Amino acid sequence: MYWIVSLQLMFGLLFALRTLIQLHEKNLISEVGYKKLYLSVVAIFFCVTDVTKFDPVLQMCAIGVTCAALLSLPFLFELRLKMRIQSEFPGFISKIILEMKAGFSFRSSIDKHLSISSEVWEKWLRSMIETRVFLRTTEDFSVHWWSIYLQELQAAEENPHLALTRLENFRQKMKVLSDFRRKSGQALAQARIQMVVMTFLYLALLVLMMTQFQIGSHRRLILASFTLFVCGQLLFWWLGRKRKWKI
Amino acid sequence: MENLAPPLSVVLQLQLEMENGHSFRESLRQMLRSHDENDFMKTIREWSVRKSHNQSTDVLVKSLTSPYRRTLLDLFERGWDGEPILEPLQSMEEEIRVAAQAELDQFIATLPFRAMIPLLLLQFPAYMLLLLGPILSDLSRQLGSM
Repeated sequence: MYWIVSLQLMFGLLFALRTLIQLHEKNLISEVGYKKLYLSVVAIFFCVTDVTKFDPVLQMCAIGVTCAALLSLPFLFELRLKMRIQSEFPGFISKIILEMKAGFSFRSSIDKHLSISSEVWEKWLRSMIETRVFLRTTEDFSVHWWSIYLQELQAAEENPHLALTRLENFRQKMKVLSDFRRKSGQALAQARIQMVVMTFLYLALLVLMMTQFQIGSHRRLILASFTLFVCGQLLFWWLGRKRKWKI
Repeated sequence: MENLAPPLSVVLQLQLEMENGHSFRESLRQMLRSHDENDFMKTIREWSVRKSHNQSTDVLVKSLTSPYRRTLLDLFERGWDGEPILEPLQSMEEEIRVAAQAELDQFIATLPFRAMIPLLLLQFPAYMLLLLGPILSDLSRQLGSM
C-alpha cells in the first residue's frame, strides 16, 4: 500500500515542480516566489498524507485537487501581471520619454531602465522587448493582451525620428484609458464590497439557523431562501456588468 | 462596463496613427487590425468594406443612434475622400471625452439605486424567510396541536 502512496506523492511533487518551473521561465513568478510556493505544495502534500492515513484513494483525490489548483496558477499569475503592466507601463514610458528628451536613443533609454530590473513585471517586459521589439520576431502577436504595448514600442524602434512623438501620443492615450478605468473600477468596487458583506452575513445567519432549528423540517424554507439569495446576487452582478456605452 | 467608450477609443487610436504620419486609410486599416472588437468596430468594419466596394453607406450611418458615432462616420467619409481630418478629429476627441465622462458620472450616481433592486426584491425576502420562516413554522405547528 505504501508504495502506491509514495508514487502518488512523487507524481504530485514532480507535477508541481514542473508547473512552477514553467511559471518561472515565463517570468510570471520570481525565483523566491516559486521556491516559497513549492515549499507550500510540499507541506500540503505531506499534511494530506498524514490526514488521509495513507489511504490511496483519498490521497489521490486530495493530490488531484491540488494539481488542478496548480493548473489554474498560470492564468492567475498572468492576470496579476496584466494588471501590473497596465498600472506600471505609463510610468515606464514617461521614464523613456525623459531619457530621450535628454538626448539618449530609444534603445539605450530602454536598456538603461530595464537592465536594473528587479521586479517580476520588469523582467517579463525586458524579455518581451528583447525578443519582440529588438530582435523583431515575425510572429503575429496582435491577439495577445500585451500587443498594444509592444506594437507601439516596435513602431517607435522602427521609426527613430518619430519615436518621441509616438511615445508621447501613446502616453496620452493610456492616461485617458487609465482615468476611465479607475473611475468605473471605483464604482464597481463599492458594489462588490457590498455583495461580499451581504454574502458573509447571509452565510452566518444560515449557519445560526441550521444550528438552532432542525434542518430536516425546514428544508424547503432554507432552500427557497437560498435560491432567492443566489438569484439576488446574480442579478446584482449582472446589473453592475450589463451596461453599455450609449454615446 | 467597458472601460472606454467605443467612439473615444476609436478616435484616440486613429489620432495616434495619424499623428504618427499615416494617411487616414492606412490608419483605419491599422486600427481595424489591432483594435478590440465591439459593436462600433463592427459598424466601422462594415462601413470600410462598403466604401472599398463603392457602395452607399447612408443606411449604415443612419442606423446609428448615437450622434457622436454618426458624426464620426461622417468625418471618416471626408477622410476617405482625401480631406485632412486630423484637426477635426482632435476637436471631436474633446467633445466625446466630455460626453463619456458625463455618462460615466451618471452611471456611478445611479449605481447605488440600481443595487437596491436585487436587495429589496430578492435578498431581503431571503433574509426574512431564513430568520422568521422556521420560527413562524414552529409556532403555527404548536398552535395547530393545541
